[in-house]
Amino acid sequence: MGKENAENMTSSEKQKTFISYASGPKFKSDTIALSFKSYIPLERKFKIEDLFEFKRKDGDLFLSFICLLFAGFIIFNFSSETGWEDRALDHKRFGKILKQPWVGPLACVTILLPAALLNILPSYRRWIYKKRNLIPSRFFHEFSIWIKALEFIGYFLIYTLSIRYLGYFLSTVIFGVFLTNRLGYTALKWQIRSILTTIAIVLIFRTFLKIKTPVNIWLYEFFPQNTETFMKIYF
Amino acid sequence: MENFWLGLNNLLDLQVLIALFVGAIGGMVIGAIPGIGPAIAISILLPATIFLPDLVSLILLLGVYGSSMYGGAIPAILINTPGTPVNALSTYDGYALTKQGNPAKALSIAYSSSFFGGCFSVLIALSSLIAFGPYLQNVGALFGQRDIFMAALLGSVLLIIAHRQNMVIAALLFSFGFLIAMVGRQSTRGIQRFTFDIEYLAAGFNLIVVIVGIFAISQALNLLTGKDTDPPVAPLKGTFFQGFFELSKYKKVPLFSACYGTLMGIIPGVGEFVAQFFSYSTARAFSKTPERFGHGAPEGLIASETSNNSVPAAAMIPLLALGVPGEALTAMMMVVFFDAGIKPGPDIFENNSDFLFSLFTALLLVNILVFVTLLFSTKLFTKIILIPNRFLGAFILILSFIGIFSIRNSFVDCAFAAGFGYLGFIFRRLDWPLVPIVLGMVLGSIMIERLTAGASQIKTIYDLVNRPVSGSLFAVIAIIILVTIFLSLRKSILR
Repeated sequence: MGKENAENMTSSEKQKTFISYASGPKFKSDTIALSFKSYIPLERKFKIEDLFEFKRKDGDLFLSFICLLFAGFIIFNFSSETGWEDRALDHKRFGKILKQPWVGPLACVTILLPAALLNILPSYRRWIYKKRNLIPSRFFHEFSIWIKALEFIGYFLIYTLSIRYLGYFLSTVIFGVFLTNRLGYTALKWQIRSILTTIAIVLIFRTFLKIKTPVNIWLYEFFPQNTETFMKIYF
Repeated sequence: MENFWLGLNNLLDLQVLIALFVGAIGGMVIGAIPGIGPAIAISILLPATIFLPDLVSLILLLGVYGSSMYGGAIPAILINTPGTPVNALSTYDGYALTKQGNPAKALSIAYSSSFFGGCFSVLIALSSLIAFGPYLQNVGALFGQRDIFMAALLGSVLLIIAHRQNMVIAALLFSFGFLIAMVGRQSTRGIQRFTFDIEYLAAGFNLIVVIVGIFAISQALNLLTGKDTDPPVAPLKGTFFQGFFELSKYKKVPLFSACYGTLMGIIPGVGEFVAQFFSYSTARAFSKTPERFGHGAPEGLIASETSNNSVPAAAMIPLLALGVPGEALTAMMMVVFFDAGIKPGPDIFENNSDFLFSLFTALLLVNILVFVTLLFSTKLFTKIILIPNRFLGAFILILSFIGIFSIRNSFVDCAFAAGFGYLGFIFRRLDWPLVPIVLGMVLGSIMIERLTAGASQIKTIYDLVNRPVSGSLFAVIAIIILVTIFLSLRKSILR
């Protein structure tokens, strides 16, 4: 349902639309069922534990494997990167051992490695279970979403780098409008909302709260002296 | 009592009052928008607070923290989407009530319950401070470095155990956070740990960079790669004053739910979810109509909203009393405490007790302000909840930049935050918890700092537990671990 249509509806129409949406196809005309239904079917015994239930998703095994590799990498470099090579264990006082730089990393590794190993087991079991029961894997779909997110990381990095050339104000407005368009909000009202929001962000954080942003801006150097100073201070 | 008036006096400053108002209303709006939540808002605001006076910044963050759950109940009840993760349980009975044609009733119950829970825990904290304040001033002497170390260890153990279903993942991510905190030059010997000869890493990872990456950027990516939902909102009719009548009908439910919330808030690492779990289960056990739970039972909504809103004030207690944050939001606030030159811990009762009164009184005012605002402006908030998710994601990403860059004027920080954000995004996609990473960083640093500082008094390993406080805490840790192992074994045998 479009938002514009929803705005033009009367109150009773909204009520009807809402009830038809909330009731779903099963109980659409059943007024008795309507008074009792919720999104938990009555025939299912409701358990609060369900809210806290954790299910391993597609991609879990891959990430668990990466975690195990990471733990291995840390252990491989432990000796050279923590001062372990110059350890002194012959102290009479236990406290002197605790002061050494490798103690903290050792505590980390003591939890990291067993946890990484223990974590891969249920993840592997889940993968085997799905394979045996011919449950289709959606790993590649999940992986494609991970890749898709990299696009936005790229935009974010370009935005941060553009600030030293265009200044915080201009970069933010351009980035805001570009992202709004990229996400498919191409209507004029969304463009205006995007511009107004970015201007508000700049005014609140840079102009009023005076939060630091890059100072030496390439573009501002072409401005007259007074304008350059003004832009550097407030935008 | 003198400190109470001093604390109240601290609040009578225009900047502080503006921060209180902005924090309370802003938190409520942020809570009402599904997809943002207090953790993201605080992580973005955190760097901005460096430029504000100490009390102003703390009150601002406290306002966001204390009010967001009020706002979070609105989309949970009206469109079946919790505004903040802790409002998830409210969808069960709240949305069911809405579908029965009673959205205004559901919202009024949620508001009244939240107000009761919020005020209950603040009043408990304030009255405890007034009653025991003079005695607590001597508590500092009882807590040495080893005791704080043990308290942080207890917090870590509780944090991992609280993730009942995915304890191993919580432990894994906790150790990952701990490891992040270990990167950089070690203070006593100057040895560079896990820097791999990269100059940037010598200074270590900034906590705010990690927080903004893990919470804000990851959620921005989550929203940007997701889909917009456009569910119809139930039209609201009637007033929101009937909630107190419902509360008085089920007197016991709000009372024990607030007690659970306060108690669970005090225990580090436990928080809102466990409080809700106990409150909801107890409410159902005592109800005459338990079959209605999950299908529009007012007691269910009362239990969940009262317990989650009584946590914020109580969660400040372990942070202030021991310097040990119990959850991500209080860990973020700890950054502001350090920036303000106030070291949370047992000494705070002696040195800054008026400050404590200021914080809790501000939290009480936040509850009153938010409750009154919601009674009269809920219809306005129903429009806010419909802002498209992906549009929001774009602006969270924009806001993240200024948060990160302002810390050290470093573009490398932005790149690392983006990296942490991407990692957090993958964790979010797989439902791996993010809080253990941040708490691993904070609690890990506390443990190592305290161990190093107290090392001169430790001759043998037994010296770690030979003080009354550290010994008792160690016993509690041992009991908790043994009980957890026993329960896990019993569960697997019964299977």
